[in-house]
Amino acid sequence: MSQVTVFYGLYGSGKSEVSINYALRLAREGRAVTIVDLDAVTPYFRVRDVRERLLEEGVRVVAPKESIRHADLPVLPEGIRRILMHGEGDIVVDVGGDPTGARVLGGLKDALRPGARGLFVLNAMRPFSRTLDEAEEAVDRVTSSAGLPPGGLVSNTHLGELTRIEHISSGLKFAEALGLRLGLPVVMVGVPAHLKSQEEELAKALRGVRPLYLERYLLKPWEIAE
Amino acid sequence: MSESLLMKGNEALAEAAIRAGCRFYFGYPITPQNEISEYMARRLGEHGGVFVQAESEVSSINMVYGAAGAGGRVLISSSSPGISLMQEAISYIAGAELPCVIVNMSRGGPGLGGIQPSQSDYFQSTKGGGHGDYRLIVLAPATIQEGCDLMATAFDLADKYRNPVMILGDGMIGQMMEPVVFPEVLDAASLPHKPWATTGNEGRERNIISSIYLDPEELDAHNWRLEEKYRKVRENEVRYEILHGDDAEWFFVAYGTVARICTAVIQRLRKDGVKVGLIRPISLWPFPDEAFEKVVDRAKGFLTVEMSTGQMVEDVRLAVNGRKPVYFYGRTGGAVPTPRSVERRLRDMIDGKAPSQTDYFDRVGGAKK
Repeated sequence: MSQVTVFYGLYGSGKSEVSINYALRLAREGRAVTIVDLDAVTPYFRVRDVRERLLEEGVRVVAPKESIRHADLPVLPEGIRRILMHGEGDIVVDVGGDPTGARVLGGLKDALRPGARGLFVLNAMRPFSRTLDEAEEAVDRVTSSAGLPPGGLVSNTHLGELTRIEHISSGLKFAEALGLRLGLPVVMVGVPAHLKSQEEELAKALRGVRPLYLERYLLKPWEIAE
Repeated sequence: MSESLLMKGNEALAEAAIRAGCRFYFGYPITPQNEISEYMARRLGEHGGVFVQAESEVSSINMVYGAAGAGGRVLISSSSPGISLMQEAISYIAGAELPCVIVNMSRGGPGLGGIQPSQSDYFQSTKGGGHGDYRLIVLAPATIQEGCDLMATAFDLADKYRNPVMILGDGMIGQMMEPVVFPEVLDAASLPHKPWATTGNEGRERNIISSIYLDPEELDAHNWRLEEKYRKVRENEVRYEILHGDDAEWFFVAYGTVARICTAVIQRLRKDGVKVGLIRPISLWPFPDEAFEKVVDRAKGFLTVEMSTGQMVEDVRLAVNGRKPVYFYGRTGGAVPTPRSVERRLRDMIDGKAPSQTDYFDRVGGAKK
């Protein structure tokens, strides 16, 4: 069964890295995957900026065409409706941040096939997601703007390189508490790859929820090794 | 002390400004700094502040003039073309001796240019920009934490010297995310009293804020008084960081994003035993000549790396003053020097392969790896 998975959330919650890593995981499991860059609000650090890397691993990339990659315009990929409606294999959609970015999906919701799953990406170390009230408001505003009710939460609480197991653990508890309020399951926990080796502590923190190990693909200029 | 948060540079600067007592923000949207306006629009009201998105940059910077004249802590932010539009009023603000903080998250120019990061506004920021004999104090953060810390410094310096202060970032500093720790929100009662502000003249002579001096003698005196103030700034407000100053023979000179790239390259080169260090100006004006005095005797050469065709390098040459070779490597327009390309330029310099001090970038700059 092919599956459409939409990642949305606030600015900087980690949607793009989650989308990229999720698409790559599906591809490595042998599935046909298309990743859709639907971010019309972020100028840097977007899926389209690592197009080549994704293509290398057999992930199809749907993004605004290369010649206008740096245009300061809210450009949508060509044929986006057809791809959302009839595209084959799994489709992973990276939506722009905040209600502003999610509005783009709102304009395409008639093209989303039934069963499309909206996953709200949550980082409790980010502004406007610090308390359950704030996070609840964020889910409400973003998902209404997107026109797609949430089907689950992705706990992606982290502090970049400074992320420790405690952040994963407290982030998951926070996401579960939010899920309880909203009647939503926590379906995935983002775990920075550098924590992978701490197996025992990680298992305790995750309590059975499936981790999505996050390699970083959207690098700062000084992190690029070439 | 509060805990770390993961912040985009733009959001972090906005939050740091609020915590430093900023209660007035005026702006007009432009990429790549819009998160500053968005954050202020959402948060400033919670602190009893005023946010206005004006109809243009010209309008918003003149609102800064007004709010600063009334004694507020005022922030404005934009990116390169927007900052160009503001230059007339920035000159007025400096002429009228009003404090404010201006953020420039610069992008590629000239003209409309592009929206990717750039450092080609160095001349505009440090050498005038607008008309007349005035200076901006210009601070250039290399990390988001440093940007937050410098925001508080910027407001303090602006009030102390009654002069506009610019935080010069680039799009990368604005858009990237790093963990930061913020100070507590400053108690408004602790802010400096401004007896010159136009706050209503009950019980005192009226204050007048203006930059008009029609009498040449008066304007001359005003300008020399400003210059005396700038002399104090040069003496007291130089900020910089030197890496490996104790043993380095070769020095990168870089600020902001490019300093981060050079730092990564230094780690790599040092593993190979190359004695390389970094001079990182934090205050671009006043320029830290002093940092060069500390190392120039031992140094064999300096490699200035910028996202421009060579702007700060002129100040580096003035500071080094012919005593040692100064080379330059630059990329522009949103192209960011890669660590590998920076490393190669440094190795070329050490190996004596740099063609000349003045045309180094012409020969090996550009898109060539």
